[in-house]
Amino acid sequence: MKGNLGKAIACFKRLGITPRVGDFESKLVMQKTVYLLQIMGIKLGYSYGWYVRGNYSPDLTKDLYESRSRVESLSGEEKLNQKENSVLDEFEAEMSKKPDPAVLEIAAAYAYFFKERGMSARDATIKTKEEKSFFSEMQFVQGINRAKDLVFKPTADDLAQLKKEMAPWEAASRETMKKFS
Amino acid sequence: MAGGTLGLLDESAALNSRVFSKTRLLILSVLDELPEGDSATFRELKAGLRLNEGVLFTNLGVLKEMGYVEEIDVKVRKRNMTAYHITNQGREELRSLESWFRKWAGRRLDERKPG
Repeated sequence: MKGNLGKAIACFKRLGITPRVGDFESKLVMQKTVYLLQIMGIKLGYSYGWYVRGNYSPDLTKDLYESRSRVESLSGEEKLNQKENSVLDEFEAEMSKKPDPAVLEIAAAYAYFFKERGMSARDATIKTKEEKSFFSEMQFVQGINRAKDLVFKPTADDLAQLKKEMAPWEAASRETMKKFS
Repeated sequence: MAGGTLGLLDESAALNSRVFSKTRLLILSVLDELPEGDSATFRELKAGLRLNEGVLFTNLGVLKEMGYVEEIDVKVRKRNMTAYHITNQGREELRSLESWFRKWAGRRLDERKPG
């Protein structure tokens, strides 16, 4: 076992994720969820790098396949402590009960550039949009906003800067929503 | 020097020269980095490798025809997509290329060493 799969399973169970190891979307959700939970402070022990799939842990994929039946049946004895449960509460509140895989993917990519590569909020946004160019502007707004809420607690100055930065996007998003409503 | 690049000529005969293109090498390499059981969608390959659709489609077609990649259907957000993974044959070809290039580079560097 490369990481703490037992704890990862406990997190999936708590978040209501139904893992299907052979399913592309389910694996995507597990990869991005584990990444975000780790940077939020839950120690799951999986190292991530940048691959064609975005930020990705080959070790997690290997563990999922090696313990497929255990993962799919969500079985294990691992208990979550109070701090881990509150991280999961926060994750659930931000990402909703059944997170959109696109939003998860964007949020995880943004968090990776911001946290691991030390990019500024602006550069992380540009890089995320460049690497995940197949998503829509609305999905970027949602994903990046979620990531910002999850991975860093901004100061008043950060918030003012953020508001200024996001204003044109939010306006464009509202316009798009109007067109479709 | 006995057996510089010419010394690798026999070994090079076993390599598939149709893989010797930057695009095909890049496609095989990024797919090789994913563990067995995982694949990348067309759009991920296109964005990740900064290729246009035509170039990617054509090169994936050649790699598929040679048996180095396989195409599968996947679903993301209820949308059908095409994904690709490297085959065992593709991984073997890549290992042979890596080994040959390592030897080739080693000999080239040795030849440039002073004295």
